[in-house]
Amino acid sequence: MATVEYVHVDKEYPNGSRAIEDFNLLVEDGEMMVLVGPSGCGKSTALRLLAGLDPVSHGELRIDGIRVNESSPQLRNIAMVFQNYALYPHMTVRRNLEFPLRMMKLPKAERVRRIEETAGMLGISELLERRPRQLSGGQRQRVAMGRALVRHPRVFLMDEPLSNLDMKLRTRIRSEIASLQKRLGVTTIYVTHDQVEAMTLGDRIAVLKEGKLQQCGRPQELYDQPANTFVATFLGNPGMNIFRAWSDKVTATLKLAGGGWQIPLEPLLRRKPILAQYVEHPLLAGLRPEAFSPRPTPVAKVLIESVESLGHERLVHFVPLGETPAAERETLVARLPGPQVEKVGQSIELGFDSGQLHLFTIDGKTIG
Amino acid sequence: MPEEGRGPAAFLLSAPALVGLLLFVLLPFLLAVALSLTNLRLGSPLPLEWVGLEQYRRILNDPSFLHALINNLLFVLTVVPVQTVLALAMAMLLNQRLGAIAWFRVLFFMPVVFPLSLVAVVWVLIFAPGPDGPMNALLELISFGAWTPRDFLHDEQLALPAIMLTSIWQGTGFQMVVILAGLQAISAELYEAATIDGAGCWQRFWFVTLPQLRNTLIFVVLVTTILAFRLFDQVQIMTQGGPHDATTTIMFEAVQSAFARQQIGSGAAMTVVMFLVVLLLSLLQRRIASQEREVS
Repeated sequence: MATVEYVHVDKEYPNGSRAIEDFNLLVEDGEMMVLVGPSGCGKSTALRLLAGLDPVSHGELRIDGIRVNESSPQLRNIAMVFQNYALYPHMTVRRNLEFPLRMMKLPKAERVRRIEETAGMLGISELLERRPRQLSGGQRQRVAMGRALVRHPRVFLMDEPLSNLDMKLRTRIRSEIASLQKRLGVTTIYVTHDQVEAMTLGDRIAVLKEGKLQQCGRPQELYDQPANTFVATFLGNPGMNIFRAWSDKVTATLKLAGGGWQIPLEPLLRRKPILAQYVEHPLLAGLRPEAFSPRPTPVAKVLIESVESLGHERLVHFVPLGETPAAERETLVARLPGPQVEKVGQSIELGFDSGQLHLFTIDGKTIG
Repeated sequence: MPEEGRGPAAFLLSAPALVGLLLFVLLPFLLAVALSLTNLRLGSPLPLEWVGLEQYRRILNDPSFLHALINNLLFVLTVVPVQTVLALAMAMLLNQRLGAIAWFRVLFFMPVVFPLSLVAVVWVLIFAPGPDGPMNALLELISFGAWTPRDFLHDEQLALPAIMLTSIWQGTGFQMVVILAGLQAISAELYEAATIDGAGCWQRFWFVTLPQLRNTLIFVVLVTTILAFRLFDQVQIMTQGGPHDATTTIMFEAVQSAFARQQIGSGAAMTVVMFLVVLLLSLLQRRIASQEREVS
């Protein structure tokens, strides 16, 4: 059990490209921290730095408050589950689990005890004499987890461990990982590009983009109060709708999506006084797809472009019919409950709950 | 589709290859077996006689041939392991991400490209007798003058090692390239996993590299063994089998017998013996290899 700290960590490659810039993160003891972001955002690099597979360029890595930049991977007592599992193909499952214990030079009896314990915990006791190639994807995944857990590591790293599994298995193992992690209480850093995994697994989530930390916090916090448009659009499926807005001093209204919707400024200013600085400036507004509904004010006419029906709900893609020329109209998406009733090309009235309106500066930072 | 594979069209299409194999491999081999059972001698006025296994009895009692057999075994037992270990070491060195690594690879592979006869001539010059011979000069230099110049290729104790050295220098590059390909097929993730699991350099080599290279190594050893049994060029050019049969080999004896002494029958018998030895070794190695494959 341990805390992990990234302090102003940079990773630069010899060709000058930067995988990670000024990365700061504190992972608490026993916490499940999920690093999430699109591919190439540096999340795997952050993991590899901690594992000691790549050297840190600048800054400091600490485990339990002690600098580990210079210590070799063997000394860090960190275990890792790889995306492709990286099981030793020439060894049986038993030998795979035993390998880290042999490297620790544990006595035979203790090795056997730990293997049995771990195999029992993961339900792979019957597979111990098999070779990796005789296992299914899900079984391999468990063995990879077993090989990491069997050493009782201080920190447990997982690099997209579910991405090679099919959807059903992924959901099942995801919840198994969550309960296992809670039960063992081992500090875990979990890397994924899948925001659903991040939302469901993480005690906290750290969102990365182009090597920079965008926001870190509890899943609900990030969902409700995204720090910028990137986090807002990345979390949620589909992500938040972002569209242009303009606040008009004369009419004291906020015009959204080319004037399709207009709402009074007054209540907004009361909620976010800082908004006063942005009056008469172009802004970005954000609404989650579930914020829309046909009833509440303000209502605007929108043109339906397409509808995806999921049975119990539907995703309606539409353009608000405001004053903007057709070429500049932005397509938004609403999540509405129930089966499909709209037709493509039809125009309907759609409103939203203005309590759920997010406002961002034109360069994407949240206001207030 | 599978039925079509056995139809007359398939036979027709594979005919060119089959005819080649029959004409140039199977036929000469069967002829060699047949000739080894006769007393065929070129330019002899005596009539051709069927002598059964007499040729085999004769060559197995011929001290020169027995010498050749022993030399061949010594050669194989030395050259195969030394060359394989060297090739493995070189391949590991060349499997690094360095700037000019391609040039190093070319350099180490170069000896394989040279014709063996040319290599042998160069090494005859290197092994030249007297203090001015490069090998003598080198040994003298590194032993701080303790080495007294020897005539390597006319020394009963040194002639065979000299040929071994030549062969290793020439052959290692080929093995190295094959092993290098094997090394590059090993996933980097396995090494990373082993590193995180606490394995050091040596343990990674022992628990990841070697097991992953197993099939490559078996192939390399098999091919080298067969090539080592066919040792001829170096002997022909460097020592002519001498001194006192110290460097003679089965192939050399067979060629001597068939073409210098014109005893085709006995030469054929020698090649059949060599074939059997190589066949036996190959079967043995295949058995080991297939056992390993079953479990892996």
